[in-house]
Amino acid sequence: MSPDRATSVEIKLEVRDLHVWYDKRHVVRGISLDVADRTTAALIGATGSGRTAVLRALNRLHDLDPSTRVEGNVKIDGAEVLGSTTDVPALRRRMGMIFGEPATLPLTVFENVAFGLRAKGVSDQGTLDGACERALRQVMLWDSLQKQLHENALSLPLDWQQRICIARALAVGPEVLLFDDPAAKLDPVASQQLDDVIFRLRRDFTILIATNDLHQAARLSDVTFYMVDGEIAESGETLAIFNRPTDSRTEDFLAGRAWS
Amino acid sequence: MGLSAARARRDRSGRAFASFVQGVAIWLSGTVAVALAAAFIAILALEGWQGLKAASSSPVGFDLTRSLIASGYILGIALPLVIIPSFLAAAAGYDVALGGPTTRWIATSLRVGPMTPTVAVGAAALWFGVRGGEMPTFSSQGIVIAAVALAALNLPVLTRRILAAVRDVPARWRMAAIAAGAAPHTAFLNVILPRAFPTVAGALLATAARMFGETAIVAMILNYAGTPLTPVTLDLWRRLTQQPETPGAGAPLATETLLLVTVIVAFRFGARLLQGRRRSGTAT
Repeated sequence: MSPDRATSVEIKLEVRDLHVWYDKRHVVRGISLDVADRTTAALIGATGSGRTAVLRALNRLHDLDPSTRVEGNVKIDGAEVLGSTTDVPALRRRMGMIFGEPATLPLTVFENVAFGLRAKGVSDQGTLDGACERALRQVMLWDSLQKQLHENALSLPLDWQQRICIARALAVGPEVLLFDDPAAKLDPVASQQLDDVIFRLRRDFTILIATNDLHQAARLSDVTFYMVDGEIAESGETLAIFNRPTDSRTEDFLAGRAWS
Repeated sequence: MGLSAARARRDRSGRAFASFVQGVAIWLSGTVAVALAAAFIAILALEGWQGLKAASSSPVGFDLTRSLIASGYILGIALPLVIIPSFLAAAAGYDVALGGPTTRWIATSLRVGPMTPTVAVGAAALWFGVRGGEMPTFSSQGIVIAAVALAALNLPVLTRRILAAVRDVPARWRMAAIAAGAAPHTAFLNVILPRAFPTVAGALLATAARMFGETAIVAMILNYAGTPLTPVTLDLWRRLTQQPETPGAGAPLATETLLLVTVIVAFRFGARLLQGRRRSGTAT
């Protein structure tokens, strides 16, 4: 969210001076950004610009890689994200992450969707059934899959698998959804359908989407952050960024021109 | 493009050749296992269990049941002793941050462990197992010490095999489970381990085969302890080294060798089958 607008609405995500190192490579160089509640923000930029590293830092997934170091300040609703006392599994349930390649678990459709709830300790079948149905309805798959809930999710088409992954994130009641190039493996038609799903979710969730698809960014986001070499080169309302970029690098990127 | 096409062709030929060799190896080991099992069953059918034990009336004495019980006793103690720490070490190796001094120490131990000479493990077991220079009076304790030594010998190998099996499971599943809010150990137990299970079970069978066939440590410890129980390998070794020329020693020797090879090949064949199932499971 652009700083001006962000001050007038409730800030959901607050990132200050975030740095990420992959071993010795400094991939995110002190970025700061705010995202307002129930706003969709797009992170655009060339491959290697640090978009994925930012999303993973928010979800604390870098914790899994000891060669990665994260520094800075990240808050969700004012609560510290990167602190050592943070309940990380609970944080990850608040901030659902969807990867570029569908990260479908080798389980049934139902078990995939219910996975997060089970991990949280929910065992009541009625609760699991209800959450599964709600989540699959949110991703517009319930009608298609209600009779295939106990089939192996890996046997389904990729776009359905990706939506099942979104349903898995939704089932645990997140507040923020992080999409890391979610249509990277999908064909244009499936990608459009996925966009429709995300578009419906915009009303209820704060969304941060890192994408290579500029059309997707323009269609879905309220605000856009353009990243270059681990820094935010330009940010603002999506319409303004796409129509009147102020940084020549943004202009070149949007026009598909290489710059040196 | 031409180069990459040629490389792709070479890769395909290499994979096809590897598959062929693997297929032949599995087929051969399967055939040998089946043939040995058939021979063993035939002997049982023709001679009966007592027939196998017929030599017990011979001057050398022969009690296959007793030897099998002793071998089973050792396996029964040694397997849990090696399985539990191996699983824990593999789980730790999978989840614990790599690169730290502790992990480097564990990794080095896993690499160096299998290079330890068997006799050194046996000597260490004797040194730890024997208190005050005397073997404990409870003679079967020799079996326990031998089992502990076998477990120690196989621990690094089994840990590495389990670790390799779990690392073979696509990392994105672990990442997905953790991103969904599962703790790392929950992701390991509920997602990674079930997918790796056929390979892990294969590794366990292979370890059981190695333990069943291990002779040096068992001979060292049980001979020293004077344990009356003699597992199959030790019994065979004693027959070969102590009474080779005794009249009537041929039948027990042949029977015991046949049994030993059959059990080991059956274990190894089972391991290969399970690992093959894992591979085809991944492909789907």
